[in-house]
Amino acid sequence: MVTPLKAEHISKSYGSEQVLDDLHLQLYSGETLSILGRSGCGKTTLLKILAGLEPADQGKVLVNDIDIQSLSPQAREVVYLYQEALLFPHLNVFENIAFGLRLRNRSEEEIKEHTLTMIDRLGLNGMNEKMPHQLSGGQQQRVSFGRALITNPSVLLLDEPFGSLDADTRSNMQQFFKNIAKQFDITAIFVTHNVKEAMLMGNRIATLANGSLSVFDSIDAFINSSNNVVQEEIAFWESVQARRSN
Amino acid sequence: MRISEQKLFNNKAEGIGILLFLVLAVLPLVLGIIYALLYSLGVIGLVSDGFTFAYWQRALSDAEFWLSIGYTFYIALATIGLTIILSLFLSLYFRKELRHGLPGFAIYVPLAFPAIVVAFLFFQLLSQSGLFARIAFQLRLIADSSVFPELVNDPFGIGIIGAHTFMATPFFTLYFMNLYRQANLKEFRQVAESLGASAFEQLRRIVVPVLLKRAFPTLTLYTIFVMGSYEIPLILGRQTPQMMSVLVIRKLRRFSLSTIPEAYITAIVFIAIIIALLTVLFKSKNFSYDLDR
Repeated sequence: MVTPLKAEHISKSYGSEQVLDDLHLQLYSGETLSILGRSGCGKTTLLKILAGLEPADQGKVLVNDIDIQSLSPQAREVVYLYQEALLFPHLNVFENIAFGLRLRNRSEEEIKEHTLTMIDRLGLNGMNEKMPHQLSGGQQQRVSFGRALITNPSVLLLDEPFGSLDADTRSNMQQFFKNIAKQFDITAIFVTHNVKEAMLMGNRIATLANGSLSVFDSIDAFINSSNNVVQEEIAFWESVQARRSN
Repeated sequence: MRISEQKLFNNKAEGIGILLFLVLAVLPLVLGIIYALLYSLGVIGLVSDGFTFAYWQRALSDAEFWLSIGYTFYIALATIGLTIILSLFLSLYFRKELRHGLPGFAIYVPLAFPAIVVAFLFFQLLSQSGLFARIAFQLRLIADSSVFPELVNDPFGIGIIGAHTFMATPFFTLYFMNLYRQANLKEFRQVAESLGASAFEQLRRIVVPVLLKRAFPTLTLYTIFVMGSYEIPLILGRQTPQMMSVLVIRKLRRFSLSTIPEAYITAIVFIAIIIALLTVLFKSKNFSYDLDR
């Protein structure tokens, strides 16, 4: 069976600082792997290497069992989503979402049909002509998702995509992602520094620290691990519970 | 209930500033236009013979007048077109080199040249008795300096376009380089690449459209500046066709006083074209939006 994404022996350093050290990773079809790590631990570097946007010093990334560096950008089928929506400022909602289809020279009819269907699924009806600066943060992120999903990529790499949103919008967008992940059978890596978000979004969880990646087979395995972050979170909520009981 | 009173100015200093601008900059301009209009209608001036449309009829039926308008647009658009191509090329392919060292210094040098100096420089280099013609003669590439192609005072305005492009290219190269940084284009390119865009597609679909859209107001204003330039077309242009600015001065300084109203008419038409152009552009949402940014 083909593996959507596999990374072997990935190492990367900037000067004397070793950011990633002999890292291994395998993603199964239809799952979301949450990667948890503090700011500056190398999460973004890892995602950019996995997306083929940055070269690793060592190791290789396989997409559907093919080395990503040997593939043209169009054939990689790995889409990287930033923390900011980064919608192209000169294109309206329709054209932003249709971008990937235009690159693939699809017919005008096909582009129209696919894009309007996607706009409908994203709950953005009536906003086709709006420019990015006319949208709210949540709407921009939806368009960004639509733009990524329309080409039906093998893997989505999400780099703290809801980090810049307020709590309510963030919660809505988390639910939105869960829904579309199910609807489109998405295989994804979801990077965050928020434990709750990592548990909510992922089927499995991994932690990145000191250049090493530890992958847990299930959410339960992660909770039961000796990971300090989880224990801190549990201790906090237990103290809240205890205070309420008193 | 408190009703806030809408004020014309935010404070006294702003009011004085706007008043000074109106008195020192706008009023002389308006008075000048009114004077020119009255002169062109025969109401005032040395050749005044009472109100008449005769000067307007004569000016508008003169082929040289229309040729001059067309020539002015041609020079301005050719200059800005060439400038865009060269500046984009330099700012996109030599971005790193132009930030440091000698290239980084050299790009600023043409910005320090006054227009008249550039005009003379181009004349000395490109005329049939200029440096390039002499070098070509010494290298036996041409048998006589008169065989050297006409690059200044030529009918196609090659010298004028070249001189203007020489002045504008460094400015727009630096401008595009700054816009590239400000507009987050490095990240947009990565997004586009991640979505499947090749390097060429990133330039074609993202970088160039974003840069041109953001630079559109400045490009428009520079085009208007080129249309109104004087020294360069005076020195590097020929008798006919002439750019409107040169034509106006020539008609004003002719021995015959009867061409003075025509000079004013040319100037009024030029101003009207510019104002119409700016009105259309300022009404465009994109233009105003980009100015705000």
